[in-house]
Amino acid sequence: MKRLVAKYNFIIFFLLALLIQPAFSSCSMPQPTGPSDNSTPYSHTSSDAVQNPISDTSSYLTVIEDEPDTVDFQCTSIHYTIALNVFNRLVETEKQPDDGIAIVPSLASAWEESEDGLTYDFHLREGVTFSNGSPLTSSDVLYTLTRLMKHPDSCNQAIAEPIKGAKALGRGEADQLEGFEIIDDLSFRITLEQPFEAFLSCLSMAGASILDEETTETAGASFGLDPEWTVGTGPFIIWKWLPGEGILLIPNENCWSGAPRCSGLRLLFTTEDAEARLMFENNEIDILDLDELGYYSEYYIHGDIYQDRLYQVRQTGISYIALNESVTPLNDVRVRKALQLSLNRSLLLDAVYSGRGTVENGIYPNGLYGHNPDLPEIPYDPDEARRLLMEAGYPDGFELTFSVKNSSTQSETILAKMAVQMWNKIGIKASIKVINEEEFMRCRKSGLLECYTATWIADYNDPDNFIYTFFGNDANTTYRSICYKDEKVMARVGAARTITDHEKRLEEYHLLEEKIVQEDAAWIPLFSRLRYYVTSERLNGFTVPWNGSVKRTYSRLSTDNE
Amino acid sequence: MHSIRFKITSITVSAILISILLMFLATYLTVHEENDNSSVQRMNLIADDTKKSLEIYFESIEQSVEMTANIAVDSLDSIILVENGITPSAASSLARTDEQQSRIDAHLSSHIKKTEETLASVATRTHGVVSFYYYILPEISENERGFFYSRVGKSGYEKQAQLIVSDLDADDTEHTSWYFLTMQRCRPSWAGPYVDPYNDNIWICSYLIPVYKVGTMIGIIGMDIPVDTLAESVREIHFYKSGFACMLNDHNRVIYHPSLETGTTPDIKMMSLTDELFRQKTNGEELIRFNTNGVLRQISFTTLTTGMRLLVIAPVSEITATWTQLVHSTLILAAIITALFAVILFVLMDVLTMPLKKLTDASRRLADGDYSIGLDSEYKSNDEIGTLTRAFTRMRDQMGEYIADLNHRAITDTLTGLPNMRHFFTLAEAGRSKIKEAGRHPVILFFNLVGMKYYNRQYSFEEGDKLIYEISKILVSHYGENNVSRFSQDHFAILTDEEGLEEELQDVFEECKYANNGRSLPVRVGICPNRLGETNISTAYDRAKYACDQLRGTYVSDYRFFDLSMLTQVENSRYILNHIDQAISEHWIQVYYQPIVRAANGLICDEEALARWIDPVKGMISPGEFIPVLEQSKLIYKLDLYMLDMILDKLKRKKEMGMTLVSQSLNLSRADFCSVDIVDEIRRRVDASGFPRSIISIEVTESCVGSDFSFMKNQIERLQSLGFPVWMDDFGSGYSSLDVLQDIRFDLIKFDMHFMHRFNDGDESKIILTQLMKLASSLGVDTVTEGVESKDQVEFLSEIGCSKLQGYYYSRPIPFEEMLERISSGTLTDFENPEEADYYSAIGRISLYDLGAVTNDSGDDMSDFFDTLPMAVAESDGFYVKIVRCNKSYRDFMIRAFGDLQKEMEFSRATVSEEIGIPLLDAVYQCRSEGARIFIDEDVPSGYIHSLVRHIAVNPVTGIYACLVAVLEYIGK
Repeated sequence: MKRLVAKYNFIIFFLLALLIQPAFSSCSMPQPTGPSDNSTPYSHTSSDAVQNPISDTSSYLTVIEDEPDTVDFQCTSIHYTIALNVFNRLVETEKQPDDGIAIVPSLASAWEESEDGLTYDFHLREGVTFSNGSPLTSSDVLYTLTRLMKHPDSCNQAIAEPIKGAKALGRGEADQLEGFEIIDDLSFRITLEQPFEAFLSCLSMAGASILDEETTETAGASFGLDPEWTVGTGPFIIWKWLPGEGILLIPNENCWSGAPRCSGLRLLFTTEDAEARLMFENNEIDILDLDELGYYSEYYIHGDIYQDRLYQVRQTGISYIALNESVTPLNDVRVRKALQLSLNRSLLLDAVYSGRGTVENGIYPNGLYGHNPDLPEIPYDPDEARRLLMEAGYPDGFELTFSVKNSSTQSETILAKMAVQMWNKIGIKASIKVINEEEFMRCRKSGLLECYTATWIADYNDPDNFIYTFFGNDANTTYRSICYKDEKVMARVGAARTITDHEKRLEEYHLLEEKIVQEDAAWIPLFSRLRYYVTSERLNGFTVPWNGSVKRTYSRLSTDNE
Repeated sequence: MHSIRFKITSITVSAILISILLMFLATYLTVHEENDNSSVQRMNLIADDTKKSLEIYFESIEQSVEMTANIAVDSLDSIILVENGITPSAASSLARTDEQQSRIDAHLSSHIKKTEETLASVATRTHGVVSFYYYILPEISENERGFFYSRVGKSGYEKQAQLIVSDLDADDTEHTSWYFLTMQRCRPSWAGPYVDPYNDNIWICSYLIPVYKVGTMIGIIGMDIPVDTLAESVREIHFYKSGFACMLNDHNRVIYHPSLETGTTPDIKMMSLTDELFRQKTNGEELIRFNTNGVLRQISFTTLTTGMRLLVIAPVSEITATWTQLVHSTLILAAIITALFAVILFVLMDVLTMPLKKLTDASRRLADGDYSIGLDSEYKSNDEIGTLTRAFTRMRDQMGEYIADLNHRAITDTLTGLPNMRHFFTLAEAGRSKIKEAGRHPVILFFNLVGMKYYNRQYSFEEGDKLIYEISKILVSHYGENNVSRFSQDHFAILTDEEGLEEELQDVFEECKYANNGRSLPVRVGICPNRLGETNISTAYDRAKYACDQLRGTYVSDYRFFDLSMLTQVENSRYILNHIDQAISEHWIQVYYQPIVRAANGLICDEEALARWIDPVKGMISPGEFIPVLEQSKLIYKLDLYMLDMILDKLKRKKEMGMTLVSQSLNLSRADFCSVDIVDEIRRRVDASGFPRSIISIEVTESCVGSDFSFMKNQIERLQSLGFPVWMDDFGSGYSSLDVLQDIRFDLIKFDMHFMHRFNDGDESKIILTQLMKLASSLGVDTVTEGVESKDQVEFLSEIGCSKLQGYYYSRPIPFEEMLERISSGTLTDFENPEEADYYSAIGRISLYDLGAVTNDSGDDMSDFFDTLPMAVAESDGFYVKIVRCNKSYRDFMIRAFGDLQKEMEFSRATVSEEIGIPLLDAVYQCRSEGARIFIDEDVPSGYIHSLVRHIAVNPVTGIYACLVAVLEYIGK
């Protein structure tokens, strides 16, 4: 009998399928297996949102992704793809047709800001549900912000910190988020500790994505790891997470903003650049980030067959070289200035990035709200640099360790090498030290790195995102191994957040920027870059997020074979 | 004719053929598709295999060049380049100072050297490289141009003079495509095939990588491999019989093709290929076939990562060759098996159907009347054929018996065992010849028992058969077995000779008396002697029978010879029968009418239609001659219906002439009722004519009624119910039975003319007539007497109440035209008004010899039958009285009482006195109404007269009424 069944299993299956098709259609997905025995109240409705996915995923929009340790966006500062595609924020930052950048409604359909900039009355969009069918309510927002503050692994607390009582909540001194008041299911009021103009921009960050309270609470540690429990309001639903291979997402047909234009989304885990290139050549992935390809990117930038699918994007970010003021002789401003002046940054840009970018002289890069084009240029002046060194008492230079993490890109490494060469020319005995990433990060966060280079890409469209991150307070500046010493300046940076007058606030940011970079030479601004993407022939609708980031939402992209 | 053997064999063979065909078809469809699929898979596999080996080779070339390129890129110092004016924005050498250029040149020099070393060492370790090179773009440096090595001999490479790329002609694609292609592509790529002018003009392909630094192309590193090397692995591919592989570059130029020149571009559309299809990289599952020069070929292709296309091509005929072979062998095998089966089956069927065949032959012989077929030993098996054989044998035996029996019956009479008629004719013919040879005169006797029908009725058929059997024995004993035959019931035919014939017959008659223990019948014998002329036996028999028939009415044994008069009669009869139709159609038969006259008024009240055959050859043929012949042959209906038609025709003419129409009587025979539904035929004709049915009276004879009484009674009643009066004709002619009158209500009785013929032979005839009239009157039946020829007869008949008279006294039967003539000339009385018929009938019916007419008492003391009371029928209109009828007593009385008969027969009120005449006139007047009865007394000069006056009838036309006057008492003074 068993053999018989095996022999005819196809036919039997077919007949069975015919017979129990209605039964199949009513239980398309397996029940989530949560940590608790109580099944979620919405699990039975999940089938409405989760259609039978197409088993042939070749038509899915496919992109490369680093395999995340978690997609819990409150607990990561890099793995935001899931947050951007499965979840929504209250508001979004979007590039406008006129190239301006604006905050636009998302889950919050409207809001009113008080004149004193302290209270925000939000109105949630009506009829929004999570992909499990659970409706979005004010308490979900409260839960999201509360969890952001309270979660032990949260690394995006900064988003919620401006809210009154948030810090106390984060410290465990309060149970409730004082500044959050539920008015009704779809309305709530947020009161800030102090006015903070960038607050809305902050809420548009991936880390501020809104969670389903009940599901997330029930999921506990499974959230961000188990697709069944990682449900949002966004255009995609996580279908499968195949460790080491990738994540498959299927369209959320019931998404409030409309279903995505592609039949699915496939995030493939790959770290090998050459592999990504081959996959792209074999039409296995739809978007190739040329940043990762080293000199091979030249063939895409110049190659005849790629010209009509090559995209050049300004990245709203800044590459910089950090100088640790807590280290002698970097504590001497003259030394720091000598280091600034001895770098031919234009040459660096040409040599390392083939001139694809703009040399920056401050903190706020081109394209960011508050960028100051009138900043005095930091010149390339090795003679003056030598003079300053001499003046500072280092005519024969000094030992300087340029730390490079082992996972750095080729370009970063070359950049470091060239910078070191330039410094060597004025006598500074700079050298490169390659250390592994973990060690590198530990040292950096502890304020122990002497010198390193990195790029900061805007999280939200406000100077605060840059200046506060590096010079906002002692902790922040130490965390970046800059160890800026001027408390007064840092206080002003903190206070600038609360200035409600836009003009005055920008003016203050400009003054602060000039003080920190031009006067104090607290870091060496290098350049903001152009980034390049090549897309597959089948991809349509390619656009780039406002900040040029590779992390993006894919809902408006589609592939030809659909 | 197709035998069963043939049919079964062909059906079975067809079944096998159809099965094979269907199986073949099913297999064909399955295997055909399977073969297509597998051929695609096989060819894809070949393409893939070749692709893999080629790609390994290509990869080795690519890796070699890439490795060199990587090293070269690394060895370029970005800073030196950028510092000396090679920036993405300004790559042109013009923007650089000489100093910068020389620094660049210096850097390039070492860079080139390093690259040269690397590439040389890589190239020597790479299979098949014919040349390798690194060209520095002229805008980077015109001094450091790179290097170019090509292979010399089999071992080493030699550095060649550097190529000046600025001298290259972009149009000379045959030789320079590598450069311009790379400059255009700006990416690593394969170029070729093109001709290498530095290496014996061989066809080569190149892998070329542009070297970029600081976003600027510095130069091109390349390696060349001869097409021959690539072709090596492709050339080796052979599959099926003549399947081959070829290679095209990404622009469909031939890199290798067994029959096409390298570098040519074949028309891929001819191969059912398109660039669209090529974009899919492989044909996958798709079956691609194309037709060139009448050869259908199948193609599979795959695209190498280099962009080159590998095509494997094979003729479809070869792909399907194994399959075709299989089909051929299967078909041949099937044909052999089928043929073998056919032969075996044919032989087997022969064995199986042999007994059937024998049986068929036997049946055929049986059908031809051969009952001696021997089959018993043929087939004894117990199967269907065996059973059939046995049944057939049984059937054969039984049929034989039946046929023998039938044969016997065919010539013998079963009752007597005598030869039957047909057989007798044969025997008699021979016998007659024998008698004649002996010098004697043969005769044929017709021998008939008299009253066999009644005998059977009386004694039963068994007794009848016994009698016939015994008679036959007597006849055989006298005439011999072969000379006697029973033709039917009691009719025998006998052949004998004239010698001692009559004596012999007397003996036979004598013996017959005692047959069946004396319960026998008399016999009649007709004798046809041969003397009257030689005839065949059948005619002789007919003549004997005719002679015998002449003895009809004889009830003792007798015999009669057929003589010349009979011969004439027979011939006449034949003439009548042969010409009856002609006689009718050509009106040889004419209708004569004999008037029937009302006794009471002397007017014609009826006409009897009588047929007259006036033959153009034989003259007048008497009805007594042709009617019996027609009756006997049952053709009389033709005559009678013709008569009816003629009567109706005459009536029509009379009506047109405005004449009074009186009833026409038509004679019918018994035979009329047997041949057709004569009643309905008459009704149809009369109705069609538009005359009332009562105008046709039907006369049937007593004998006609007597033969089948109930049938005839029924027919007569049918006629009457339809409204046709039916008369009994010739009453009193034969053996009349008064039964008939009791059972059938005739409308009229016609007394036979022999009463009149014997009118003067004493009183018997008159008495019988008188009583019959009285009988008829009492029964309410009208009467007519025929054969009236004298005035005496008229008077007598009038007195006794015979209401109608017919005879020569008035007129013989005459044609209608003559009747008209005679009426107009006054020699014939006129027609009676039919409306007055009842009146005169009532008057005429009164018998003046009937006391019952006066009283209901019968006369008791009348010695003289006719010495009755004086009676008269008087007519009166109230003013006058006329004695229209009276009896002899009345006439005698009148003479006695008044002395003058004439004066008293008609008188009026004007002429009579109060005493005499007026009382009678009054009484007559009073009796005008029905049922009235008046007694009157008159005192006449001679005495007193006591009379009775009784009403009879009133004439509806004239208003005159009739009454009976009877003198009851006369007392003379």
